[in-house]
Amino acid sequence: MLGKKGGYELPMILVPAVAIFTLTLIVFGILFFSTNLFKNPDKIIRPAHYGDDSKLITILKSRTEIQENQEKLIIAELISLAYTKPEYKQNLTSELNKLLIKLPKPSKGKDLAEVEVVTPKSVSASLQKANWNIKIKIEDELFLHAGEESIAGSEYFVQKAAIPITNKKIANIILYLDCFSCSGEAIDDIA
Amino acid sequence: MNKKGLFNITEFIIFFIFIIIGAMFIVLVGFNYLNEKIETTKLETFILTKKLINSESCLAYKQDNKLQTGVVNLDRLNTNILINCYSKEGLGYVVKIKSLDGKLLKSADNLNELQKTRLPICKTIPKHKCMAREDMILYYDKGEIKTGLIKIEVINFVG
Repeated sequence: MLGKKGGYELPMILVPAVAIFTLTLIVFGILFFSTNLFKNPDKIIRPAHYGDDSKLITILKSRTEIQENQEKLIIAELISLAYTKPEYKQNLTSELNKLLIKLPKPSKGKDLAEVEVVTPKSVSASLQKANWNIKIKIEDELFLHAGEESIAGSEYFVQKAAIPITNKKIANIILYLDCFSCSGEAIDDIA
Repeated sequence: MNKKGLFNITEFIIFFIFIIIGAMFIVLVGFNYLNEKIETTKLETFILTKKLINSESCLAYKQDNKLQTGVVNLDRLNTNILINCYSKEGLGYVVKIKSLDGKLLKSADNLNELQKTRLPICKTIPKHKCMAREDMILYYDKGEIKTGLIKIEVINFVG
């Protein structure tokens, strides 16, 4: 830029402006490189989000001990039967509870201690309180709830399915992991 | 060179230093971004599990030419099938099928000799990531479809 006397000069306002900009870069640089403050922890999709409904489908297709016409029913058939014959509701609840207890929870594997993810003890402890739950809704009304639900717990790994039952009705089934005091990030880390 | 000229040169040097700092910052951010390691072992383990239980070339059960996705055929669980199903350089895995009460029914692996020795002590081996995943599945055994568990242990070279 040409000055009053024909020589090259920088506008005086530019120097403090660039100085402030540079100082901002230095402060941001220190925070960026020495801490992970500005880094996105989700470089790829989070585990809780890339899950599908396979757990719930497996449960619905699982064979039970309940027989009808000398044939063992699967859970989906038992839901339909329990809706028309309420005496089967108790059987359905116990069959679902049996499966929910066996359904693996997302937790740090004890037999594979070499898993790289470091889980804080408090998080591991809180995950012990995590329980799988199933809710069956028919015509927007809760028909059945199986599993243990904590007070003020949050729902993780929600899976949904809809199955046709008798009388041309649809049963909406929701499977979720109920966990109190689990943070989203912590649970993702060990999913 | 007169006083004004000297002042201009000093001013330019100061300005130039600021520009260098700004440029260095941009280069460092770019370098950091390009060299950032992205952890994919967890996602790969998930994809491997899905392929194993849903693909015809893997363990999925076929009944009367109809593929039953999500149902594992126990007879198909062997090393040859696993090698043809999913192989990737540096990645090895063990597949275990268990009954609901935890009893091991069958297992097979796609591991080389080195991975076999390294898997149990994976945490101490540098540049390797290990992951275990357990899912509820249906399996076909002796003419019957039952509910069980599939456990997959993966060792991945992330060098």
